[in-house]
Amino acid sequence: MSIRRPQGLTSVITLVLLSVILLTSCGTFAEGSDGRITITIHTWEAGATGLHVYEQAIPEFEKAHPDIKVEIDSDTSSYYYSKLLTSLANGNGPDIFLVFDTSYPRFVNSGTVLDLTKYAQEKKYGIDPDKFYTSAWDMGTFKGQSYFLPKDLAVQSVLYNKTLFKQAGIPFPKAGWTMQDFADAAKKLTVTKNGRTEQWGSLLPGDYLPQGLEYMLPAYGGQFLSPDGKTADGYLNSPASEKAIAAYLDMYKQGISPTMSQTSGFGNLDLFQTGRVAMKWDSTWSMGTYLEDPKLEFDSVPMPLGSTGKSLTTSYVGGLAINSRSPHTEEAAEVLGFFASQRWAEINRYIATPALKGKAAEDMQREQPEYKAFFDQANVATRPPELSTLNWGKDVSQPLVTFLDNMILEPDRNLHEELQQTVEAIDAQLAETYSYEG
Amino acid sequence: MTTIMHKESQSAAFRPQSGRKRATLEQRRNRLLYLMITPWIFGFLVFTAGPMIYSFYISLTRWNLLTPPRFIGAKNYTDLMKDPLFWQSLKVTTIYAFVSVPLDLLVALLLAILLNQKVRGLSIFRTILYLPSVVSGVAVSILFMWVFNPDFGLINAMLASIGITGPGWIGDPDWALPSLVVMSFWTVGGTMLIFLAGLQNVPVELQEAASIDGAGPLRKFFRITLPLLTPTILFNLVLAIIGQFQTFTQAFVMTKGGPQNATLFYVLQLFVQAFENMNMGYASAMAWVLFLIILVLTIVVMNTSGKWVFYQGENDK
Repeated sequence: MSIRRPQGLTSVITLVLLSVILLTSCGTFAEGSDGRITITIHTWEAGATGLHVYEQAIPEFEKAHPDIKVEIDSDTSSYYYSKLLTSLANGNGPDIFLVFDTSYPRFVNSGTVLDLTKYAQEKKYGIDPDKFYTSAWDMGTFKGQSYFLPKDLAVQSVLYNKTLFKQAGIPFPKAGWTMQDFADAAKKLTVTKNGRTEQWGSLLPGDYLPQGLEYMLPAYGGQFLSPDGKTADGYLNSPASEKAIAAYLDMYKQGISPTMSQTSGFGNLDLFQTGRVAMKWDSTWSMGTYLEDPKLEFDSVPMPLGSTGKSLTTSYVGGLAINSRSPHTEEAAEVLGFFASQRWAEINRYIATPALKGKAAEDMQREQPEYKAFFDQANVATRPPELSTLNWGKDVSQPLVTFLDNMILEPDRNLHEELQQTVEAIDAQLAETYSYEG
Repeated sequence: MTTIMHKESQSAAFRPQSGRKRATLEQRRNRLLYLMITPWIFGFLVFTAGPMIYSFYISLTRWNLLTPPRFIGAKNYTDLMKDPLFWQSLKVTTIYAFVSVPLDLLVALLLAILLNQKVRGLSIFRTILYLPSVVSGVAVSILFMWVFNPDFGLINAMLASIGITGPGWIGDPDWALPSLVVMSFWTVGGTMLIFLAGLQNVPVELQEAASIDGAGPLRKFFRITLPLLTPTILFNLVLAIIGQFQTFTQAFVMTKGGPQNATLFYVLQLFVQAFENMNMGYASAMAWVLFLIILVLTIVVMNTSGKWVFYQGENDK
């Protein structure tokens, strides 16, 4: 007993010291022991499939660039920003990271991301805007300066189930079809038995703005915000915008698409793959799964034309940016150059459509013609409205999502009044944001 | 080392005679206690108290995490009062907590009582009932998305077999929150285990004495078991209040706050403000308001506990 106590004291002190040492040693590791410079990339691509492309690409890059070591840090998209933002805030951010388009303006405004214009002008390390689909590259450009390299191309098309079209005796849709054609086909493809819908004509994107209203508004000549991104009044509530929103809500009223409540009830079940919906407005994310399913016979077609008669589509971008505070911006640009290469497009095409024109994109369309509509629309993708204002998520998206939820789930509400209230709420939020960050 | 040993044996030898020496020993014990808990105090200061103080400062600023925080005084707090989503999230969370806390405690207690019976295969039952608590919240959420599926989910399939058309559960604005309350029963294992430990601390002799005096099982439960279990109930109640006010995973994975914000839990809205809207100052203000709410509730529970919590041996002193 008498010996044990001093030992206990010693061990307690050792423990305290050890924890202090452990905590203080959690600093940054700069250069590797082998003298190579380490470039970290933080990505929201995770899991076996998501990381597989990096596992393939990085050794190839490192072999060609023996002085650079690339490390991948990955989190699923839901948790991605919590880690990225905190690491940037405490000054330990990664050298290269992916940014959601909704926060492009803030990353640019705050000087967090490196201006890539000089590399683009000199086409240094292969960072060459001409190699990309114009719409994809332009999304990363603000006031003539480029900050984000498009990682891939994600435009929207309509996917349709050929088997269900044949069963209903409806001809397959073709490019140039209109919203009316779409709605008519969807109505014929909706099957109801004993008051219960067994099959819907289409799956519409509900309150998911990037796929829903962000297509409808420009298709009917409407807009979300003023060009300076500071007001919605006169834009979101303009006659053209209201007409677009009414046309969208009308499709829900006709019951051709399950509502968000109905889809969430299905959990993770894919309604298109299981034949519960005959069409779907979607990007390429699920294409891999659909193509592997031998029972699913499907194809894609460009978005139906709205009242403007102009062919257009929405797009989403994940942009790669360089941390302006990285001690190795030059090496990071060298790594970024790899993401502008055909080799990357070839490797990555198994999980995403290339943002680069050329061989990988051509191979993909030849081998899997289901992708063709996506590439056909690559150059008519509109610039997402997210890019036009500082805090789209809080100021515009959140009030609009609430508005859409209310309108879709309670269709008897007065559209004009609800829209006016929403515009007022959005403008109040915008004024607040711009008074601090504008 | 030998000197220490020598001193130790000396003090041991003198202990019975001297009150002063005894106090020194107590002091040393205290010192040892503090040394032993130093790593935790250190951890608390570095990982809890420090960040809390910092977050209070942040709550007085406007901070998008990319540019330096800008001091704006109490504006975040006054803005909160005007924010309909703040009130909605507070409403959802309060309703959920006030319904699920008592129900969860009741379910956990009933299960613990069952598991306290002497039946065959008891350890198997205990394992089965505790098992869901070990499963991660995300996995449980995904599982329940299937259970709640309106068309071919477990619950509606069972209801259909007796001729009842079940509701849309998590897809229906009126049923979404009740669905999550039902789901919370799935994870009462931890609470149940603490109740079980409490039940096993109830002295057998008291039960036997009551039996000899002619008390039936119900009377024994309400007169002996339940009063002796009140400290455990208090402990579980406080933990449950803290836990339920911080509900996040189910809503984050299953409903994203929808439909129509029916499951917009407070912490979910806080997360959205912090990491999706990049409003860290606002989110920090939300965190402090939640902290105060939980603090007040805990104080109320602790202060009223004198009236209904019975500590064994309390009357001996």
